[in-house]
Amino acid sequence: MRSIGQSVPRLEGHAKVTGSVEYIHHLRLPGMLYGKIHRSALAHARIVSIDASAALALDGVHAVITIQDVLSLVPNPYYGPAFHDQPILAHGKVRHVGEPVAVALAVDPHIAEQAADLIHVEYEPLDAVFDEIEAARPDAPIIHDVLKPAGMFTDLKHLGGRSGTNVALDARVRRGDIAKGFAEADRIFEHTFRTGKVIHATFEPMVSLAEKQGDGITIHTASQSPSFVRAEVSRLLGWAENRVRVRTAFLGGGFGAKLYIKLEALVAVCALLTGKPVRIGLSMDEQFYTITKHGATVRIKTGVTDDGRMIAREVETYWNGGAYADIGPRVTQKSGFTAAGPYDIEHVALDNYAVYTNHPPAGALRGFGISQLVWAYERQADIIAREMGIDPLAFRRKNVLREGRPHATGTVVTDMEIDAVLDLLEKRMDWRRPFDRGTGVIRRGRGLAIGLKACISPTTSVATVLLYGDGSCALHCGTVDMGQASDTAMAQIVSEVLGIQTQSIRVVRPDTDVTPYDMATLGSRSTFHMGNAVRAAAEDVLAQVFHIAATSLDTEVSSLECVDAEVVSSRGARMTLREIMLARFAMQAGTIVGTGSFAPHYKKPDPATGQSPDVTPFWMLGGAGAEIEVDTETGRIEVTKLVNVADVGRALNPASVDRQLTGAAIMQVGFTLFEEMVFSDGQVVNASLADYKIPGFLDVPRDISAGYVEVPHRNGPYGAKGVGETGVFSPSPAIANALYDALGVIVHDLPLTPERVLRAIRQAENRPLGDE
Amino acid sequence: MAVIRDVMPAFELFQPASVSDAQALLKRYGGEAWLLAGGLDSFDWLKDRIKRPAAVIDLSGIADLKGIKPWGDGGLEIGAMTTLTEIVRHPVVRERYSILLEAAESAASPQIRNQGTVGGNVTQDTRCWYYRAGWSCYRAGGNICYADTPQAINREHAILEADRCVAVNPSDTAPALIALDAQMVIRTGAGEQVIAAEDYFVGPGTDITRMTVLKPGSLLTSIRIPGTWAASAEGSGGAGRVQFYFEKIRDRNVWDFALVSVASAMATTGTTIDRIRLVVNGVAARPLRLAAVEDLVRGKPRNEATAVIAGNLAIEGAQPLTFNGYKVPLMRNLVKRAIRGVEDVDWTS
Repeated sequence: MRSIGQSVPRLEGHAKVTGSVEYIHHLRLPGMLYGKIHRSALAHARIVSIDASAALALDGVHAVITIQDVLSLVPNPYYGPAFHDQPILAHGKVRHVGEPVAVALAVDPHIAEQAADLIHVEYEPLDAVFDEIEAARPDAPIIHDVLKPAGMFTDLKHLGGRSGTNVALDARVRRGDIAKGFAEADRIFEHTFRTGKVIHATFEPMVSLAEKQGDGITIHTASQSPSFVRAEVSRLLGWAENRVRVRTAFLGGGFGAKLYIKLEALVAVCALLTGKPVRIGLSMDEQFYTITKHGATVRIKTGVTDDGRMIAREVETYWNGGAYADIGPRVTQKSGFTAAGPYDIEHVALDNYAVYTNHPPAGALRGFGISQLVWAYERQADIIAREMGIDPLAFRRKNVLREGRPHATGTVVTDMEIDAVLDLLEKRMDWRRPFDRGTGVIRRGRGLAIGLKACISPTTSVATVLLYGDGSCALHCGTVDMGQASDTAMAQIVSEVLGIQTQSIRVVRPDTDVTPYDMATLGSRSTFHMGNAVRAAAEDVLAQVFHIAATSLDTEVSSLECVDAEVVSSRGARMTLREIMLARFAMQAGTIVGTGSFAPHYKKPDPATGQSPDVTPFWMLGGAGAEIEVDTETGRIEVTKLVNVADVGRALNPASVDRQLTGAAIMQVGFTLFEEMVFSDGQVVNASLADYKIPGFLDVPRDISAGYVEVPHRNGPYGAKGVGETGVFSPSPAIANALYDALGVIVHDLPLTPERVLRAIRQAENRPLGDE
Repeated sequence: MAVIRDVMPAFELFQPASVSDAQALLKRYGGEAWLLAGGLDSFDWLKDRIKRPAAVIDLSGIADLKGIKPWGDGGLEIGAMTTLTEIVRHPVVRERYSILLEAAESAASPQIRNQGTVGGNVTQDTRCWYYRAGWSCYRAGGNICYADTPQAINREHAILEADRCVAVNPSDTAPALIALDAQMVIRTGAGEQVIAAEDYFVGPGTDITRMTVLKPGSLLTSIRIPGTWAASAEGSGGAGRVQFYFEKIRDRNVWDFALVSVASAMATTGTTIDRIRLVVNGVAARPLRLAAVEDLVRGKPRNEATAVIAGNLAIEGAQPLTFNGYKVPLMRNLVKRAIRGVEDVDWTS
């Protein structure tokens, strides 16, 4: 049986379509209380007093929890994956609008809501700062008195105790001699590009429930990172990890929103304080105040020789991290070091600043900071190419980073098929064909872009494969299936090893009492890391099976192979898996347990230069091509064609790969054309899906397709790399480059609303808007 | 920030079966009553606790308010509770009043059009996000406009007829109905009243707390479209060829309100414009009929030169706020297109 490379239908497909799949959103526990959060109305303020008397007087209200109650249980209530900077509830001050200040707990969600509204908080306002550049200045209002890096990441330790700054992290890369590079360049280009804040807009909003059980606690949560939740909640409570059980179900979307701690510490504390199960589920609107993608300002300066070679690049990026670090410093560092792009540039200087502001916290969003950088370097690539009279594709071919060459971090690039990706893009875009740009009101343009990501490192995955007495099989796997079809891919790997039908393999999904450790489902890491762990676990089972069969069949292990759930010897003797279990345990009984774990090799970069010989387990490369029509009288862009191409190593399940790339592309079309959180004094004025616009079906480009290049990665399971994010890298600059191709107008900021495009057109005509 | 809510509050729900029963309830509850049509505007207000009516009167059980029937000399009467989908699918609307079809079809999404009614579409409240978030602004009975301050985010707000309030009308069908010279049939305590569609909508200068003339106690029962502006080929009826133009510019292609929309009905003989009705929406608190532009182009050839002067006249007096200056050229260009058309436009909208 060959499972790998087959478009096996999703294991949970029928259950999802018929509405019988479990989501934590639907879970109700006997006797549980509903929590509703009272949130800050101000962006930065000291809390003078909290008066909950009116809320407590309401019939059906069980309790109102504030930080004072939390402190009785958790003396140090600060959490976070990168910094321990976020309190379980506001502690002394609030740092962004929408920050949780208190929780009303009631027997009924309506009463909880009413009670939350009756909580009165008196504030003493403080100066607030929202822009990442202003917040990084020395005279800006200080949001955190002192930096408190978590212990988990050793390369953040040096920041401990730093005070008087909003810059949570500065991360740099230095290669070559940047001054010499610019001195030798014939032309120098310098631009500043920006991206605003957007959100994940998961259709299942964040939801967590907690219940005390014996001397432990069980947390049911829609989370991408159960293992992290267990570690962090047990750290906060001062408990051993084995007293905290964290389980999840299918997620109605994640995209990075449901990572690390969101509501879990809060529901755990509420359940322990009241002795009752507690559920807190957010409304769609509350998600806008919980976690966002980073807005970024990217200043990029590039030196080019007359023959079109980039020889020097300096990139300075300010990441708007919001009020709490979440995973922002890792985004800053791990994406920041790719800011020079997939290019072979001799002299590179990259500076990245994670900046606290009084906006809601920013974290990971499908791509982990990469799309903000690709937006800058690929917009600039087209400007350089046009100014130098070089075709945009030819310009990229002249400069790309090829196999065996050092990346800006010093790590030598391997297993990255950059020429094949460009070739496929060229073919799919029919790039050599003459292109009609039109002359009337409607103009046409086409553009392309490529983007690079280094999968974050180091991270660990562990898996268990169990063979039962009847020869059936289960996989215990901590990867969270949030729509990406990971359950199916992992089962395919077991199937490939043991020759068991993919559909008959039971995937036991994340439950920290059952499934072994997994760092988290994020950053396109699961296929590669968990895939390797699952393969090793299945091979461990196979080794035990062969050992039993070799004894029973009186042959050598080396003469055995596993085909269609049977072990076959070179002499033609056969045993089914069930017969092997019977041979070992004498009746339908017993379990064979196979385990596997995977952590890639890694060398920490030098903090001064960012240099490392081994900075990532695999490079991710994605390219996009777009054709657009632009209406010069209204500024409306219609994307008529969008091609997304990725280097995937090996497509374990081609249909899933296609959907990952295309789904990512559609998500990015929304970020490109209209999604943007609009702030007014720290309030999100469009905090609803009516006013914050995500794409509908009519916004999907008429001609959208995905393509992939398959050259097996030497360390990937069956050669596979992760692909969940690759599709988001390049569509934004490809579409903007198409606008540039159509009209020659330069846009520096996203999204490309009719308004922004019309303004850019008028700017290019030297008739800026306002002269009507 | 208001406390965010996601469940319905308690209220008395009534489901009358006749217009007179509905009127009796309106009389009993006065200003405490809320008329519920398709619910798409209403439920947000109620769930968000921004509007707190004691009684909700659901009109969906009143058969007299539903359906499309012939009216007058070749016209149509459309019940206020007729869904947008029914309008889009109606053969006579398709054949004779395609501008109304286009306008109705540009509203929201298929699911919302299945539920949303034409009465609700023309009567819905403004989308000003400060007002809808429950800020105590002029329109909400307060004494400030949050959208008209130097820092306010007002890209979707008014460029014309701003009073103390700078909100705009969000209806897609309203400009098409005004272009068709429709009449609104209103039932009040005193009996039936029929007014022109363009007079149905009010700006802040007339009443800052209302978008329409409807006062507590009255309801819209139907909309009448006269035969005067039915689409026709040249020669039929001898009054020239009637053509329509509708266009709505929005950020995304589905479930989005207009940044600016334009609707025109025009009768031409050869290339000469005989008669025209021209309306824009999304630029003021009410849809604006551009009578001065109509007067200017009447009798002129339908060409680029006429279109240009029409566009320029249309935006005379426009006063953008901090972030909505782009609406001025957008409105000018859409008026131009309504006169001369646009080649090559193949938007999915």
